[in-house]
Amino acid sequence: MNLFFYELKSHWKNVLVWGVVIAVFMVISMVKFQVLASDAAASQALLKALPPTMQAVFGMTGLNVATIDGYYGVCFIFLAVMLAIQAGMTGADIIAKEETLDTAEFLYVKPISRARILTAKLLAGLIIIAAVGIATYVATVLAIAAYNHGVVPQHTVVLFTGALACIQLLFYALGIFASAAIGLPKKAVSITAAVVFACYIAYVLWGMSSQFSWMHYISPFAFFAAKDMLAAGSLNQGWVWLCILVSISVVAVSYARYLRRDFKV
Amino acid sequence: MNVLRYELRAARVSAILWICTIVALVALFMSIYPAFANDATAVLNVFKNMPAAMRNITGADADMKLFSFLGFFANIFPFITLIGAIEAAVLGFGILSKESIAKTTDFLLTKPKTRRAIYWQKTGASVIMLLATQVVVVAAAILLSRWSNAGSYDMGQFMMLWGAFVLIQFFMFTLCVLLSQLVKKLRSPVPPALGLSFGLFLLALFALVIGENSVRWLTPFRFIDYKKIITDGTYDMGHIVYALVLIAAFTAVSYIIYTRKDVPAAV
Repeated sequence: MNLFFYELKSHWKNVLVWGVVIAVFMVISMVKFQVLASDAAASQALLKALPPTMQAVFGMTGLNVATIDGYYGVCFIFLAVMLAIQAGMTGADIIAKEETLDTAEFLYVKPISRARILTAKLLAGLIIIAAVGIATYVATVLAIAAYNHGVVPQHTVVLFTGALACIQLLFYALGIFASAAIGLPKKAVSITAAVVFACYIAYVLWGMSSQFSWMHYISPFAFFAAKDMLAAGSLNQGWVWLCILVSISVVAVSYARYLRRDFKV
Repeated sequence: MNVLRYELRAARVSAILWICTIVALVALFMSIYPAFANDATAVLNVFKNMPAAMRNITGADADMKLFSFLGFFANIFPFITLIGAIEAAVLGFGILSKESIAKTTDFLLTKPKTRRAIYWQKTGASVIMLLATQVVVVAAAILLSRWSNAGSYDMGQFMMLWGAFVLIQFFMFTLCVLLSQLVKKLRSPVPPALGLSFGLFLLALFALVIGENSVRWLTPFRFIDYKKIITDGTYDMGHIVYALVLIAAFTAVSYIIYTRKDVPAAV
């Protein structure tokens, strides 16, 4: 138990920094939105600056940036990438840090089974990414309320927050896998970051050309593309279940490997 | 010169990996171009038939130029500069602090070699790595463009785009060398390098989407406006000078700090 609280305590500054960054991001974007929504000329200028090809790169095609839903849909991909990196790095770091900081011997000779260690760390990490997710939700609602005359599209925000939660969960599980299962703790963070980056590039390529429509199946950012969610009004059940199942199976494999592998002390 | 030679040898494998990654990414994006060009002719016909007012509203005017190979390339170029920036950032954060990470500071600094020489040879080795990356990647890009039916395009403008890549790499490198001297303890060069590069990149992209131009002074990814290169064929000299001044300043300050700071003995 005290391992669980120890991990929470050692990460609170991280959560604070990320919370502030996301809050600042939401406020700046909403300030800009207020300009766009009230001034038609501004949104025309924006569309002129971003011709359809560039819009495809940003996943903006089909989204009306003058409405709060469409604008938030554009902000969404940036939030998703930021939260994915945070979740992935939390997952990778929380296990790998024992080996990279040379505290592995200290921890593993304690009379506590490896399974309990992994469970405590896993749960602590989940609380941390949930805290960042909740901070994102609160920052979004407050920022929208402040700059959109108090009108908050609750349904849309909840929908997108659900998508963010799935993305966070998936990348967190991948981070745990990278550090617990693969025997390269020093590279775990880089591997996770590389995966996030590859998924983002896959999402961009998918948006740009029908040649890459198969990338829809490998990039979590594509599972929860803003325009699909806005059009459907709900999360695609299939993708949500896929995220949950992949996360659970990846964590299960991590347990199996972690309990048996040799540590690099 | 042996520090220079040593660093070059040590970084050989990772430099080759980075070059392969960047070239692969360029190839991937260029592979879209043939299909894109086919779609483009269809869309261009639609645009031709639109009345002028409609064209203005949807921004199709600017788009016509952007359907060319250079226009397409300018659109996807930010992602290539991102990977270049990550390579430069990892090099920057690591080159001076790798001694303290690996606990070899005592060994190196007690050798009869001035800190001045060590600093210049280490950063010199990294600069050579970055230049090698840039040369190989640009050469590969030119070859790949022939292979993906780019047709004829203005080589000058193409080189100007890659000039942005060079600028961003050197900017990120010198910035990260400075930052590595300012932070207390670095466990690994990768997390801060990734965080900084990704953060500045997302800032640039987001500002591009919402049309916020003040950010052009904050993030290296927006020092050079790729659309302006395509439409006007020029850089914004003000931003280039600003970037070069900052690069010189970062180098000078990190040099001063490194040559004068107290280095704790490896425990």
